[in-house]
Amino acid sequence: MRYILRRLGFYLVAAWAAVTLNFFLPRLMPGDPATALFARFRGQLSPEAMEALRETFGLTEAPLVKQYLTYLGHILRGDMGISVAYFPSEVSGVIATGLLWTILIAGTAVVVSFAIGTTLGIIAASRRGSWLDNVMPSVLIFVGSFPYFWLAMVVLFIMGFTLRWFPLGHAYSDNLTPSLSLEFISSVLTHAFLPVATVVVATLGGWLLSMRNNMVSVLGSDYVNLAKAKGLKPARVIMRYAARNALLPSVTGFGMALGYILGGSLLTEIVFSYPGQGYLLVQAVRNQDYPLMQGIFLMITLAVLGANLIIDVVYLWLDPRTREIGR
Amino acid sequence: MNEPVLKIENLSVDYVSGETLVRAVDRVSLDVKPGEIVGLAGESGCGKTTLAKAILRILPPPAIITGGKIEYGGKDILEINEGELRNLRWQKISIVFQSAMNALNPVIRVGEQITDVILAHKSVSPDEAYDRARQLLEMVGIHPIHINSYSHQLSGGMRQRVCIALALALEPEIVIMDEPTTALDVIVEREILNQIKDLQARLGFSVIYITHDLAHLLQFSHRLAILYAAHIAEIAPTQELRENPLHPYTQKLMRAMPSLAQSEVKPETIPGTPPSLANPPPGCRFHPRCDRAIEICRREKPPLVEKATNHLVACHLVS
Repeated sequence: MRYILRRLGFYLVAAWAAVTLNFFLPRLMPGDPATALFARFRGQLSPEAMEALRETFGLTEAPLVKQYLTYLGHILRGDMGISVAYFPSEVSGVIATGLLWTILIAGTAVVVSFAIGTTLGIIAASRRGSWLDNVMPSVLIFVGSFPYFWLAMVVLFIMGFTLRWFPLGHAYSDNLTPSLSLEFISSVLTHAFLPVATVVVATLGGWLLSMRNNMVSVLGSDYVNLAKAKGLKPARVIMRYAARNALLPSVTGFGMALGYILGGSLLTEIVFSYPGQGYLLVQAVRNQDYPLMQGIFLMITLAVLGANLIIDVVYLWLDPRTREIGR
Repeated sequence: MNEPVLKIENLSVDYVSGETLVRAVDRVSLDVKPGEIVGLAGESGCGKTTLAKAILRILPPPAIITGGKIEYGGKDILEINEGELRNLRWQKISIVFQSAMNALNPVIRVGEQITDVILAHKSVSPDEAYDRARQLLEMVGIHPIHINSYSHQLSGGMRQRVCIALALALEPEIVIMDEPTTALDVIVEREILNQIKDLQARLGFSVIYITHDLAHLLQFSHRLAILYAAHIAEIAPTQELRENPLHPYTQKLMRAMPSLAQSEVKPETIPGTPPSLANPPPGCRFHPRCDRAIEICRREKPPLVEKATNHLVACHLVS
């Protein structure tokens, strides 16, 4: 418990550092959002309105320290300002929608890919030297080494454009309004299928190979050999003795992948015009939408920290040896 | 003498390395009688551990058994199917590994590692299995509270005791002990050896005890086999071997032990190193290190012949 609290303290400090960097970075870049917005309105904005806008974005003439404190206060209340690109929506609202879609596709993809890849890794290692073990990893690594956007575009072109099996973009059909109806849910699922499937196919090989290699080294260990000598059923030897131990390094990788979900699904969302976090980020950059950018960067950082914290806790549960250090 | 429980006949094990085979155990024959402690001594890399693992067919992949028989209960262990093999493992023959540090699964509790083998072989309830596990721990002098411990929470000596308790869980007929005390300090080593001796006397199982430490075996085994470069050099009842070692290698091993009685006698060393098994010398494998080697030793491999009752030796000088 003390261990978890200590970790928690560490993550709070890291989060504070991220929030602070997040404040300074955009202010070091050229241009300012109010001017950008002014340009958008093609000069039809009065100087008073302009001044009011600056105020809304927190870009006052106040000293930096005061700006920073105001910013911190806002962040703590979950107020990240007004979006320029999606004016006049609040950044928190814009991010929340994007976040939902990103978690749906990228989250599903990472979990599915990890589960399938790890299972295949266990199978490949326990049938070492079989055709499965010889062919499967190489094929999946081959597929995974294509540039992802290219792979995704080819799949979209064939299955979406030519064969028309799947929609070309968006999270659900334009003629539907979000509801819990069967029609809406199935629309969401068909729209999510290609983005999820391409990410799974591209990342499967990595999970498979790392689990397979962990398994191969664990299978050579004394405790697995002893489990065999005990006359236990092969399934128990493989799962409870070998895979249970081989899983540990993969869990670390899984945690990192979870953390990168928000930042990493950029390409997927661009190729499939999916309205997630990555897509929003591109919009934000295009429109010099600082508040939105800041909000997204902050979410990405927090996601990485959050995923790390989760993995720390999961690790305590998975590996009893780490509990000692915690005491 | 009564019938052996285990009969190893002309067993050969090779390690596949690229195109070539390296023979780690070469036509070794050995039998084990009920309630007998058979010692197997030899230098590192002479094939002791390979032989031990071959008996339970748990040799890791590059090793293959290339010949011979291992008879147990009228059947050849090398021929039986997977199901029969699983039945035989641990119920009839169990093993204690050299490195207690690594022999226990680090992420599951000691209790589960003892009960899973009981539950796999006996039709008892999990509660009964746990009761048995507690008894076993107590039997080797570990407080039953450690049933809920993980291996990293135990000391090296405790881990090895857990491994011994584990080996005795199903009251097997034969326990193979592969250098069970190598990783321990001499005091713990002494305690554990005494414990093994006590348990063996009480429960009456046979032991195949493997070590490079001849001194141990001389005071503790009934019969002793000396292994040199994958071959058996000499086998004899321990008493006989101590008083009348016939093979020059055995004689040198005896002189290499420090003597408590005559402290002014310096232990001798055996010059040279054991031969590479990938490229063993022709004839007797010991001849390059043997100061009494004669012409025939360089050409012909000496057969293992019985020189006295139950005393077998493979040396041209003796036959």
